[in-house]
Amino acid sequence: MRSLKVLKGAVFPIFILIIWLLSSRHSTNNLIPAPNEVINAISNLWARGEIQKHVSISLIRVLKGFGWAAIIGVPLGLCFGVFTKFRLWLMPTLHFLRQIPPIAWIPLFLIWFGIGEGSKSAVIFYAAFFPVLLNSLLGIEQIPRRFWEVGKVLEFDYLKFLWRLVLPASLPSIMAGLRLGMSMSWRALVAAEMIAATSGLGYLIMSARSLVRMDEMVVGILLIGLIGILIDAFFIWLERFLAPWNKETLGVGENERSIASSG
Amino acid sequence: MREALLQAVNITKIFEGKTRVEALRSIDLAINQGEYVAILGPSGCGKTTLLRIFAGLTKPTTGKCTFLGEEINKPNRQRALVFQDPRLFPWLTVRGNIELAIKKQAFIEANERIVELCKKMQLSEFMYSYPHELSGGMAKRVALARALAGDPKLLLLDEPLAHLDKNIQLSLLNELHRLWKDGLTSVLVTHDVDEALMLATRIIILSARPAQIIANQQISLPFPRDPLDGEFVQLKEKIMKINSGVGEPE
Repeated sequence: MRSLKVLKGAVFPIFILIIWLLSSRHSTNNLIPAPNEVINAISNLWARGEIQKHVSISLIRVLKGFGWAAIIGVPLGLCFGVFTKFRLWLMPTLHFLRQIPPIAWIPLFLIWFGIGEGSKSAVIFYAAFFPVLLNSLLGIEQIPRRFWEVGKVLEFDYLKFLWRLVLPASLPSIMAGLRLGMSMSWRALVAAEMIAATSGLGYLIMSARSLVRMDEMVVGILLIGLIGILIDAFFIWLERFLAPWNKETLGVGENERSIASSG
Repeated sequence: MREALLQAVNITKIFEGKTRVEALRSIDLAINQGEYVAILGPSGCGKTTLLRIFAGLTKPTTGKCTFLGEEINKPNRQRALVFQDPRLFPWLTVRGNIELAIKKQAFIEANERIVELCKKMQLSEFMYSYPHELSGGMAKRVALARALAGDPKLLLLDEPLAHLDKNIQLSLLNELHRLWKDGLTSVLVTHDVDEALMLATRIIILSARPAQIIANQQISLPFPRDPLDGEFVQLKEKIMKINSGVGEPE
């Protein structure tokens, strides 16, 4: 079953590869680099240590910005979930800020934080922060009322509510937020590196552009997609590892019977 | 005269929402130490609401409910409520779920208590299983074990045998009887007359909504009870008549 799934998923990329091969063979103006040229570019860039350098710089940047977004976003989201009064004060502002794409902030961040790492960290943080915060909040909102009642009946104190109910029950949603936040921050990072950077995958593409190296541009694009998929796969694995009960049994979002109608 | 463990005085419950629903009207009831009280009534009449008031999960609109002489205003492990659905935390094992109800105590003591409860409820083999690995009957046993872990003085059971197959019902029924025999006062909410007659020392019948007590019948049949026994059948017919609004209330 699994191999059939993989096979089905591979059909479309193979189709694109064939189209790519054919179009590059018939291209007369060098606009589409042939796959073998891209492979050569990969080996050249690798030999020069360029791929290793740019990938590691981009990954470190994203981990820093994303790490801060997770450290601040998860507890804040949980606080909003538990203390609903906070929400009334802050949610409208947060919803407003959420609508602004991180790229729109880049010019301002460049002025505020300089052309160095500060502005990039701010963009990544901004991109990851809202999905992390809102999913953590959603995680608490989706805890079924029947579980809260178990806690009440068993006289949980605040700490027990937090450790035994709130955190584990909202973990799947927190993980989904982290996964989404990571993916958003990865995209934002590349955009930030394209505008103002002297290293990183975004810079790799932009510097290839200035030299009109179509093959290296494609290498950069492929690497971004590939690393994005690997990061996503890691988060999926982490979610399954930390919350193996999810989907099977939790019944998140199920409609609760109203007390009035139960006999 | 035995001491009343739980006393409900003139309990009324009205749910205010889009439509106003009067669930309970003027319920007066005393549950004594050592009793097994079954509350019968038509579906949706307010039996569960009454049980939730006893548990402290729902506040009555008017009237007062006391437990050991003190007014009930919040849940307490001494009045253990077993919900209709087991409500086990899916991220915890059977052991972890039972542990939730244990008061702060030394690890060794808590461990001994959990092992003892698992043995009592025939869950020893499943101590490290997760809820989704359990059958419906097993999950109910875990919910019961969790309720017992808080050392309750009163066990409140909401349709404990619903949605289970006959064999499992029978084994759980024996378990519930054994707990009462060991001294645990119990209140059972059910719509099944057989279930009530197999377990209860007293049956209370509620009317349709707004629920009022229409019968309060002592059951003096000896244990173990046989559903095919003539006296049992007679009593069952009488209760069914009252329950369906045909018979004369006592």
